[in-house]
Amino acid sequence: MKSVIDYFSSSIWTIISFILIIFLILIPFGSFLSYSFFTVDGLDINHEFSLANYKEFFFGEIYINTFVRTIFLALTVMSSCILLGYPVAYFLARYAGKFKYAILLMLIIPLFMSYIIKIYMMRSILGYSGLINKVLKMLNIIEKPLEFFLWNQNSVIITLVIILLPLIIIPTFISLDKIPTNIIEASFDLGCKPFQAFRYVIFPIGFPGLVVGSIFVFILALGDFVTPQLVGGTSGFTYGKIIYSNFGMAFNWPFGASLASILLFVSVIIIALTNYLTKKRKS
Amino acid sequence: MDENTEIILDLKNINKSFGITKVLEDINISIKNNEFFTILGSSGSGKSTIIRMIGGFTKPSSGKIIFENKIINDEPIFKRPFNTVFQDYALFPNMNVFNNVGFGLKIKNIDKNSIKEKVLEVLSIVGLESLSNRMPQELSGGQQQRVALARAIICEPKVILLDEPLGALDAELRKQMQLFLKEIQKKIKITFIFITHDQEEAIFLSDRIAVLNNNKFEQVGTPKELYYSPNTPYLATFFGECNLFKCEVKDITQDTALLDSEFGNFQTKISNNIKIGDNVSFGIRPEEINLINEKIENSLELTIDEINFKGSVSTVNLISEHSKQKMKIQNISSNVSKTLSPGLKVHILFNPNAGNIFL
Amino acid sequence: MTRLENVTKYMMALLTALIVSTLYAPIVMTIFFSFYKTRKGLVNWESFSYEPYTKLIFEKQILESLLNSLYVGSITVVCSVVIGFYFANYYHTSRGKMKELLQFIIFLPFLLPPIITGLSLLIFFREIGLPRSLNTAIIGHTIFVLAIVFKIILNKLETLKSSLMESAYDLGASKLQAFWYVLIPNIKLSLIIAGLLAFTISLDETLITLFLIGNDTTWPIKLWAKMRVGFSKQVNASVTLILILTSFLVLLIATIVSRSEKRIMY
Repeated sequence: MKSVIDYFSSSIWTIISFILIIFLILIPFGSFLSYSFFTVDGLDINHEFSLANYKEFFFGEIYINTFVRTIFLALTVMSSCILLGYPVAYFLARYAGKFKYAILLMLIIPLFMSYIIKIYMMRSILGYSGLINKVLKMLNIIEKPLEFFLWNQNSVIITLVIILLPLIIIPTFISLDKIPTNIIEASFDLGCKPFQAFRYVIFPIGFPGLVVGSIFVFILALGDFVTPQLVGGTSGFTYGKIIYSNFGMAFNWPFGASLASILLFVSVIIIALTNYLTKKRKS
Repeated sequence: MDENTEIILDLKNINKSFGITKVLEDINISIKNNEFFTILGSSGSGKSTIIRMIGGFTKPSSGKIIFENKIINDEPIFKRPFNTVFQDYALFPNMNVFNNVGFGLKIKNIDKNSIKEKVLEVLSIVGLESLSNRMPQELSGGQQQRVALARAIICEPKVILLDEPLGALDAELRKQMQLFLKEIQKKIKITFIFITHDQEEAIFLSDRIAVLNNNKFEQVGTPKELYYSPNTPYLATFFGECNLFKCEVKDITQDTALLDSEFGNFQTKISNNIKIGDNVSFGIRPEEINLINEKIENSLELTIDEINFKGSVSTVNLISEHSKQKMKIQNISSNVSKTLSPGLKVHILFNPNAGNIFL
Repeated sequence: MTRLENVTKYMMALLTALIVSTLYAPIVMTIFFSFYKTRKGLVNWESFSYEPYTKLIFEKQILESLLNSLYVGSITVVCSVVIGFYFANYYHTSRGKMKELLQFIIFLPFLLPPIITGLSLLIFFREIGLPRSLNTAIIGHTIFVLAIVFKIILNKLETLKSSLMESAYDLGASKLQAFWYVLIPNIKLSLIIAGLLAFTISLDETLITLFLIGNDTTWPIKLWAKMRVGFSKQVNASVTLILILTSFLVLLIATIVSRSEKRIMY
């Protein structure tokens, strides 16, 4: 009797859980994609298939432009994170010794600070009378406060970098940390110069972590819509902001869905490409 | 009715493949009640798979497992009246010794007092009464093993399956545990099916041994049968040492055969269906050969190649004049061997009825 | 070590220090501004007071949103750990291609930009007529954190010896009994870590929640709304408190992880 219940309950649970997943993930994605083919009729959604939204995207210049701009923004954020984050991860893995996990923890905690507040505080840092300008003035590097930092695309970039840096440092560190020191010593023993050891041994092993972190940062930067609202002013806006606005006052959900599906499409391609390239590298 | 000859478990025509890899082919054995049955084979030979099929952890690709006259191929693990002692003991790290051992009874909703009684009883059988509060991580390998055994015994299974339980122990401990297992089995009178790759262990512990080679059972028999009457040259050299050399059958009488070898002609008992003119191998163990003083009927003459001093006894390596084929004798008292030297010609005689002919 | 290496080492140390301080700048400023007032970029050094913290309990709106966040967080933890455990166990014990597909689907909401997950659920709920509320936010949070919870539990399951469950069955336990007496106690830690992580993420989740919350607010949504008006000291005070809470949770997780690794797994 026990076994009958077991067998029965196990396949019931399997069915239930699969239904759950399909319902909560696949169907919503499906409905979102299908929405992109609908149109609005005043306050109603017209459920007829139409390519109007996509036409608007491709032929109405502004959308493609913003999308491309946002891609460049995300690339900039990603590259800055790599440039700043890799040395930190490297330092932690190789030189920080017993402090490395403590510092890692210190890098993790800011991730859990309120997202919105972090961005908002950037105003006080980047602004006209903000921290950076004050410091620069104190050091007599500038006379008048700069308007460079706030209410434009730069502030979006800087803010996103500050928010996303830990996300690139952590996986990179994890990859690099795996390298046992004796491998490095062995390579020296075989006559490697430090730079060669880095290029041929350390970097390749740490590469997967770097890739994971970079893709994560890129995708998050690509889809972010809160940062531009808070620090972007009028000239700093992203594709995400446009999508979001279609769900707000503009109330053109289908159009927003179509914009978002372009984003989805590109994200999926990037993730799949990365997957493919990393697998290829492994063989 | 002698219950010792009653068969309780039958494996009929068992085959097992994992994907396209065939692991077991046409396995047939009958295991008797209360016997200590060992399956012997090298690593990866599939012996674990047999025990796992009996226990229910995996299913045979074809064939039947019959227990008490019922086919139990489809019985789930927890319904089979067998318990397993795993190679890595698999003690539950979240429970102490007492709870580990009592687990099988707790599952059956037996009341606390009975559980306590039985656990203590079984722990004293394995000699661990004082350790019931310890956690598995705090025990030595040998102790963990005994707990695993206690845990299996308490459920009073019909068969206990032991999957190379002594593999992780050092040599000293291993010998102790071998003795322990042998005694326990006799004491609690449960059938043991034991897996190992160690021939000495198998010979010491078992009532019967099945030797697994090339996915099949090479031979099944008592230790003595396997040692003295191996069916194939593989088995002859498997247990202990064996001198194997080629012969031609020259003559056959009712129960003896005359064999011609590079050492000379000699007579021996017939084993296997041989005809005159057959090319066969003859195997004889080093301890079954005697050094004699002078040539008598059936003796052979060889030259001493090497003498290895081993304390009170020595081994002597002999060599044939023409073919350089070697033969080894052992258990020669060193008193005798010290009178010998390499190059000397000596006479040897095989023990009567010793040795086997292989086709 | 060569001189060049030494120099680079110190440069990297400097960079690390710089970056860590930069990352903490917003945090420090938030705490600072919970105690002091500023006007037009000048700090009013006399305005120091503990009041924002003590008066916090009376700020009904903030309190309500905090409680809502705790509510959402707790339910999210329960759902995601239960579902995540189930799927991790399924993945671990099944053969075949289905499980790869399953893992892919589970990871989707986490890998893709949160805006897409939020959108999808929003559209879906509208089509099936489910009004937005705290509970729809719970659904969104659950599928978002599911990927992490799943992975954490799965990692632990794969390091458990398979003979452990086998011996439980061998001794007569049914699947349910084996789960309860053997499996769960041995993965307890990873369940706790996954739960804590899910809670911490859910507390601060903004992007998806913005789409799925109706008229209720959770803590980040409250902040989003307040942001237009500007932040009072009290808002900063509550942020600081939450920060202390989440830091504590993170440290807790870190301690659990390091202690479990120190324990000699036999």
